[in-house]
Amino acid sequence: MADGNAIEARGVHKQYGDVHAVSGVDFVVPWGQVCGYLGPNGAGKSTTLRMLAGILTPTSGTISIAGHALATSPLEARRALGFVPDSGALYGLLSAREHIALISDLYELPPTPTHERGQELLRLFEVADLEDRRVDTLSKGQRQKVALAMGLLHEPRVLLLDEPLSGLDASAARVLKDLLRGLADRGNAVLYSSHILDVVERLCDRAVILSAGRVVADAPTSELVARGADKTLESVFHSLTRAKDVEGLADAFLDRKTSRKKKKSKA
Amino acid sequence: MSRVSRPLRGLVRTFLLMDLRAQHYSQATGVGAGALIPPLYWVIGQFLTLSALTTAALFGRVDADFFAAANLGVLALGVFSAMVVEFHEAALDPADASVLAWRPIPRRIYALARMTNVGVYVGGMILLQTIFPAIVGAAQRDVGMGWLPLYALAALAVGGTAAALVVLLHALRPLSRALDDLRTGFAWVQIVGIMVVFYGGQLMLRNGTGSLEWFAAHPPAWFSLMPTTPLGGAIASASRGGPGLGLVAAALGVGVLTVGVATAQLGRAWADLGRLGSDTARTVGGRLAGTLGSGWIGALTGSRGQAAGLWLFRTALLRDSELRSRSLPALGTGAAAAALGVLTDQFADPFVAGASADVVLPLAAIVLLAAASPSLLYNTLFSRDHAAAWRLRAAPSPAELAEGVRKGVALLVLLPATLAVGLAAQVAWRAPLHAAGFALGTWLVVSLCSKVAAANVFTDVPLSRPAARGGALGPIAVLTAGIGAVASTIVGLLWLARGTPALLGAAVGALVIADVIAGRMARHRMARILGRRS
Repeated sequence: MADGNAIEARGVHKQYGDVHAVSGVDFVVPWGQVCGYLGPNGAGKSTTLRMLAGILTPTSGTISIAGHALATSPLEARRALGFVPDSGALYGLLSAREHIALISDLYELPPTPTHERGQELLRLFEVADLEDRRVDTLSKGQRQKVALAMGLLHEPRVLLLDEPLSGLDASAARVLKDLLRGLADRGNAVLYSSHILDVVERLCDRAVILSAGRVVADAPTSELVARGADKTLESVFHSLTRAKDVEGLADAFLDRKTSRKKKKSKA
Repeated sequence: MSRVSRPLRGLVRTFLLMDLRAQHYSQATGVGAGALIPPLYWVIGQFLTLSALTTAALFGRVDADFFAAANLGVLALGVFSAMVVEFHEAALDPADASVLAWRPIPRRIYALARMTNVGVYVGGMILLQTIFPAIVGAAQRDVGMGWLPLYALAALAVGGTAAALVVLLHALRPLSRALDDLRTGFAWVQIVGIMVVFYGGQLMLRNGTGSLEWFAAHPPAWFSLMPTTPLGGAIASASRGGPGLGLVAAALGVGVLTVGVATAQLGRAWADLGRLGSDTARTVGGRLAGTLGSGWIGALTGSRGQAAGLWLFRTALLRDSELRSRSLPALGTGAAAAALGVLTDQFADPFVAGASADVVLPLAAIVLLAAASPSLLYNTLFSRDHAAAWRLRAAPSPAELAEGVRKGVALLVLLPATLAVGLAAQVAWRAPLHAAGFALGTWLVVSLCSKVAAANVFTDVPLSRPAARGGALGPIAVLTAGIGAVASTIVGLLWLARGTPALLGAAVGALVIADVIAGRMARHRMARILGRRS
């Protein structure tokens, strides 16, 4: 196990033209933890994850993965990393079996044991029988299961997940949550980005909350929950991200629609 | 070596496998019998035909120096154009950003794998354009035993350099807004390239009095500035055992160096591949208020479905550099005929000139502009957002959308091009009435041909297919040739009728009626085919 933390982000900043997508993000994820990464749409979560994965270069700031600085030792850092992005994690024209072979070659893993591990992961997510189907012919949920299996294939010690439950059925979601908890308990680290706050509340040891590209909270989940008005992560999230009071918005919309219809029918 | 070879092998195998599978999209979806031939086969046919024609036109009529220089020039242009329009994604594919960019792949391995992927296509293109000049050229009187290997090596150097230059430009600023602009620039560079080739080609075709031989013997000053000119001379000389081997070796050296620099730049682009999927925030379409059919779009279209189709085409043309670079070069030959005709004083007024050679270019401009319509329409079938086409398929009438796209191509691309040809006529003739008549005649031919083309092209909903390598250059060739033949016939008839006002009026009237009938038939056919597919 490398020294230090599993993930360290120091003063990370990403700018596109005049747009500051991420502004000076600082946080660490220690080994053995599942860390929630939260924020409203457009807060900069996916941009941060893509920088942590080495796909995007930060405008400024430093990132290290498993003790390896991404800027100076990118290959060592990436070797420790598993990443499941919110979309486009797989080549549509390849099958799961072909993805396994590709990953095995890229990491120079022994072919037979890697294929066996791949099949095991596909079985875990109940898509083993789809191993030879082209990914672009799979349903959204099936694709997500294959993407998760491919993200875990090389036994990464640090996992970055962007909305991993998206499209998953209830049993696969349960399997994934148990798997992530188990991986963290065995000393690995998981950064879990999601909008499903009650899952984060139950699964994650700590949570980092992002708003408008800045970290507005970074604390153990239990501590954050205790800060909430009604002792839920949701209420803390709303207060910290200055989200407007969403209660009753849908009802108001439906009421307006109904009254417009009534006016029309009267006319 | 073995440490790097396995990832490299895995990547190359994967890239090629995906490219081959993308070729079979048509079979998988069964879009029509004409689409059952993979796009790359059409590209192969085109390159072979181009090379065979150039070789046949030059063999036995020019010396070996000119023969080699011209064939190598055509090869360079062919490879450069194909790379710009079709194969640049083989060098840097945006899909790699989320699938591969976080994996521990050394930059040189990725760059080598991508360059190998490009190399497969470029190698094929070079081979196809080398077979005829290398083998047939060996039978020339003024070459020696070394012609074939020397020509093949020079072709490798020229083609490799041209392809590597495109990769280098592409890797310098991946998919940024600057590259979008650059790609549109590439499309126009291609148009200029086509103009140059066309200029040479029409000289060859019109040389009843030996002007080709004269041109080859006394080439203009700019010909000697082309890099392939001294190389052609060196190949011929070295093949006879004379000097020139050093120049061929130097060309190979330049090729290797350019490929090396392009590979290194590709490696640097890999380090920040995430840029491929990122962009600065752009605000667009702020003035829309619930319908696309208001204003001028509404006035030009007959239904909201058509308005949506026209708006979609206009928006795609403005925002999708891919669409521009795939389709706009089709205008190149028509633009070339008009521009070169005016610049070289060979753009005579067909209403007053007799049967002189100088009316060939104005008439050719009409035919070539009409022949561009299949390619322009065909490329609207492809989109990088093809997955969103389910919404277009689910529309009440996809045929109305297709009709809107056809109108978009006609009114936003072909009509301005027609007006430009009319302007060229006015510049050359200083006779506004004749120029207006010429533009009107051009428009009637172009409009009719675009409707006939639309009936055959829209076998699927617009913007609904992913682009496959070779897709823009290939499958439309036969229809283009057919439309060109139809346009030639009509232009020929108009030319014959020009001296008799009554006959000319009847011909124009018949053309208007044919245009209306073709429009109805096209809409009927699109409704039948697209209604079945959606």
